[in-house]
Amino acid sequence: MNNKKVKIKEGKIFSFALFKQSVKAHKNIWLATTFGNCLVVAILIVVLSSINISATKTGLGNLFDTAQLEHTVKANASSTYMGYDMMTNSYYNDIETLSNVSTNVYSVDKKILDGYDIICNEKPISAGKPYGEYILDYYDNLSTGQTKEEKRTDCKEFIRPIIERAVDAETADFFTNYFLDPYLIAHDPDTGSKNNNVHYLAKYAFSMSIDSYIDDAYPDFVPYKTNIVNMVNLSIDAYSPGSKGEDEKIRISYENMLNTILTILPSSISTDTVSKACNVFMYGTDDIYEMKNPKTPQGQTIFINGYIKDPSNYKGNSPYLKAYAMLSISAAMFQDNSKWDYFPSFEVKYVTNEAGIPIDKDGMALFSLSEYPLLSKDYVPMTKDGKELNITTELLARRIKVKNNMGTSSDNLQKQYRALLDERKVEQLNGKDISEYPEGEKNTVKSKYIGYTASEIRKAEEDLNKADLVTKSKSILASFMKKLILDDKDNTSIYYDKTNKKINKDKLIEEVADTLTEQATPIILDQFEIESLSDLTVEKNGISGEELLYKVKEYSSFAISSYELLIQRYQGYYVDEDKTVRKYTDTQCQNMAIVKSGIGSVDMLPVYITGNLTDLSSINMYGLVIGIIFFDCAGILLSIIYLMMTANELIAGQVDSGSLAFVLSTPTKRSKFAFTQVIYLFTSLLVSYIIIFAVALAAREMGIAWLHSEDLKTELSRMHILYYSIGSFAVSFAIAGICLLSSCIFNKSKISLGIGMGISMFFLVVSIIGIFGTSVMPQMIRIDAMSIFNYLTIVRLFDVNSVLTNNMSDFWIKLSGLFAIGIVTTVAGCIYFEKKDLPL
Amino acid sequence: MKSTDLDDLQVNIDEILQEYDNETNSVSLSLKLNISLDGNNVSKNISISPSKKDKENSIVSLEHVTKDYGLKRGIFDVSFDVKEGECFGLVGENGAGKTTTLRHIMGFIKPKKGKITVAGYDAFKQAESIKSFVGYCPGEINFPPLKDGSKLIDAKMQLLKEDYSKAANELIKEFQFNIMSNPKRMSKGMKQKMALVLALMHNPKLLILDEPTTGLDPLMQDEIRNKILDIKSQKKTIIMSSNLYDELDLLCDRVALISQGHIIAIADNNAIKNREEVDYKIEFINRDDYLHFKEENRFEIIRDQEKYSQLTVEIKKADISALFGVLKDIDIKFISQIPYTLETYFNKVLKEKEKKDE
Repeated sequence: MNNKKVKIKEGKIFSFALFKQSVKAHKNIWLATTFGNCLVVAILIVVLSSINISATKTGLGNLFDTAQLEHTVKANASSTYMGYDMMTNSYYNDIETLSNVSTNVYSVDKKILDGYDIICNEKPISAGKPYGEYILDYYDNLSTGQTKEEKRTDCKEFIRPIIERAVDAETADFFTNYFLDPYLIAHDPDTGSKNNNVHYLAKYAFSMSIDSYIDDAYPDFVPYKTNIVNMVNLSIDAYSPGSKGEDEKIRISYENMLNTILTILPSSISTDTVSKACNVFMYGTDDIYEMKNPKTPQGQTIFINGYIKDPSNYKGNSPYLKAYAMLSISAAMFQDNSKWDYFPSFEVKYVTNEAGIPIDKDGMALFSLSEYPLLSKDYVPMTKDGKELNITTELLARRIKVKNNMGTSSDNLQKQYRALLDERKVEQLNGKDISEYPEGEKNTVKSKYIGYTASEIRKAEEDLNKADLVTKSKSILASFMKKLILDDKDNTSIYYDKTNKKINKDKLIEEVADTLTEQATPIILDQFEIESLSDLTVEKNGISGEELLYKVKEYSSFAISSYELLIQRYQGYYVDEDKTVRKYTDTQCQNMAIVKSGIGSVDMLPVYITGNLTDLSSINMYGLVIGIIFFDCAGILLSIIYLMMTANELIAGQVDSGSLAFVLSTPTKRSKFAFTQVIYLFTSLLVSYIIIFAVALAAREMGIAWLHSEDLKTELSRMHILYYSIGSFAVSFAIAGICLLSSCIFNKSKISLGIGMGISMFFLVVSIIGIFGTSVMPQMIRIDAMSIFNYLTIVRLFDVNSVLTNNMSDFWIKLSGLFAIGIVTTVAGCIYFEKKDLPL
Repeated sequence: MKSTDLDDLQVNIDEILQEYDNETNSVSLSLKLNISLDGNNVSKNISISPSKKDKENSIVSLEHVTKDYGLKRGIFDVSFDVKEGECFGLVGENGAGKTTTLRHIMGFIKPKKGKITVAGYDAFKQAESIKSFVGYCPGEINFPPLKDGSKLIDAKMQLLKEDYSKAANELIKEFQFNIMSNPKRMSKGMKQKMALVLALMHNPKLLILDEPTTGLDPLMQDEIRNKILDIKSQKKTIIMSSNLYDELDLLCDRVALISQGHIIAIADNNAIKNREEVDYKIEFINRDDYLHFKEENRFEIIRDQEKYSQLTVEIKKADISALFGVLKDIDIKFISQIPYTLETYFNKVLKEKEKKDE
């Protein structure tokens, strides 16, 4: 024992001597737990840095990117192939029948065509004379008090609703704005001269035959040009039922053109003049024989449209025009199919057949495509007579659910029949936008099943227009067309075997592959977000750019062979046993084959799994392992062991063994004693965590420097480690408070240890179970119901997820809760300790 | 009225008031004084009342202290004073409440009712203030887990914030034991000595010892008791508990008997030692002599054992020769003096209490 002066440290609430004694007494266990924690965190970080986690993530990410590419390539391959095939066929052969040629392109125009038909050929019921005369009479009878302009306006306003009632607003607009005005002006004896009437038409027609003039002079007229032509075409059918010679048809088309214009013009103009003008307008010449190979675009369009309508009358003429016809059809079909890509997909929960229509338990489709071929403009299934298919609950009850909720993502066929596959219903009255429904139906209360809402349709159509698929596909097809034409030599053609009269399919497949490869490059650059294909490397992305392009070729040939097989298969389906009535038309077979051959491998996976895979690819491994498993779980375990033993020893242990009497037999306040012990515990905890933090940082640096782990740099930043350490410290702080409270309350060391340990361990174990419910766990492994455990433990107040999602305010608020717990329990414990009886 | 002239200074006592305080059994005076110096008059009121110090010099005082642990355990309505410089003993059976009482004085326990003051401080609320002059040896001695005895002493000095190594060394030499052994492995005797060293090294004026010799061998017991006497001779106040009457008889000035939490009696040892009476037990050979002696009733008979023809008489010391004078003519089997000790006193008190309870 030393005689030297014992150093004194003054303190009313804190005794440095006691502090030193406590440090000495517990240094072993403190060192052990701190060292243990440091070792674990260091090894953990170093080990994690050696495995290339992000490679897995990028690998998964790549999987999805390539899956997307696969889908795009396959879908495009089939349709492109179909287009090339049709074009080659029609160029070299005649397509015998092309029944039920594509749909909406013509159904849209049909209305306008019908309208023109009516106006051209009918008279307003009230008038009894052609529209033209009727208008002039009215004009002449208007009061002379008005100016000419006012009279013209009045006239327009008068005739327009009449026309609108006959056809529709669009057509009425066109007539009143483009034909009526000039007509009335020309009719006026003051402004126009009678001579001008004659020359007017010719000039007019002439000027119209030269596109550039038309486009400059009447820019708004341009979209309506085709309508005149279409109108003429339709009248071919109207006037010549049954097949007539081509010449006859052309002649008739004049007549209709003539009649159209003549009904508006006064009869003083000779038919001859008009007819000549028409010829020039339509064919660029008035030579009837040259009209077979029209030179003007209008003429060509007439020809093409006529060919599309009924190819049988156009044998042998102008193959390139025929091919152009096929080009239009292909582009239209392409648009038809691809437009469904822009509609939102959904999970298909019911079993469907090859056409995407749900089937019942006998394998029968809920309705058959041969009966109900169309979707209405609102994308609702229609019956043959144009009425809406009545989707009732009875109908829907016949569906079969897909087993085990393994629903897949909808393909382009299933999307068409979403009304049958989805449970979405619409109430017509309550709160629903009634303008979506026609006037008459507003009062019918029934709710109906919808496929897509009006806003979804609008959005899809907007996106579709933006994508401008028609132009794109037409350009692709047109460039093939060029090749086809240029390649056509007398005896040979690489695309067509003239001797055997067979299309060289292999060459076509090669063409498609080349086209797609070309098309795929910008898509790849966009999807992978790189500048050039050489940026893709095996190390970084798991696949090289070159390899990916080969894959494109693979996908396309795979899709095309699927397409061929599927077409044959679908064409072999018959409705009856005698195999006389086909189940699907050729066009339908084509549609279905294109869609089905375009399905990528990932699309075939159930939605549940793809969802989980995407989630898996976004997993933050460091957040999970280091953040939660270490700092929020395993690391806390060692701290808890230290805390519960030490907290117990510091106070309850001394009371139990009686050695507190030693301390209290000196002028030491109880509160000083308790406070000093508390300070010791928290200080040792803080120092411990500072050391752990430093070690974790060092391990991270080591991982980055020696093992070149890029992941560590990005995924586990220094700030992350700091936040984790603070969070872990906060949890330990709270647990220390709880253990101290129990130590202060109980005189028996056994009980104090038991309670402190019991509570801390309970929290820890529950937090471990709760890990399975946190959002850091990927969806596949996470069990959401387990997240209830996270509410039962204070450990979860250290929210690793909010660090990862950068929701720092949430993080700090929860952490302050932990600190509050620690402080409140400690203060309560000290106060209780001061007031209670001590059995010393 | 008295007045005292001191040259120019004149002090007149105008009024004297006496007040008798029933509770503290004391008198307080208040005086009205008239003081004049060179003709200037000043009137002053002075009151004199007994200070705490005057009040019997008690350093520890318990007033109606009750601590009920339930099932009749605890202490109930315990009151006593310990004067400065006296050795006060607490005696009683195991579980009587001795340790509980001492813990109250040390401020480890808070009473449910009553007040404990040590040198004017409240024992519980101001416990740390009294520790600078109090030394305590607990009934169960447990030292903190330090390496050896010297570390204990160092630790204590750090907590006391002063250097008492000289005193400690002297004590160690006195006790003649090796302090370098592990405190947890010390024998009971060594522990007791160690505890005493720790309790005494800061020269406290009050020493509280809880059963200091329990569990020690007779030689050690003697040693400890001698030390206590030594301390007593240094005019320190000692409060000690024991369940051996002899020990307290030897060491203490006053002894309180505690039984089942109640103070049965407080015995003044000096009074007992200086007792005027003396007791003799006599056995008669002849029955007639026995009866005759009893009938005569000349001396006070305090015990009568008829079966054995024995009588115990209590006589003043002056009457001894008278007794022997009576007995010299009678044949007696034996006569022996019954020593009157604390034990005897307490037994007497207990018997009286039993009778009263019936």
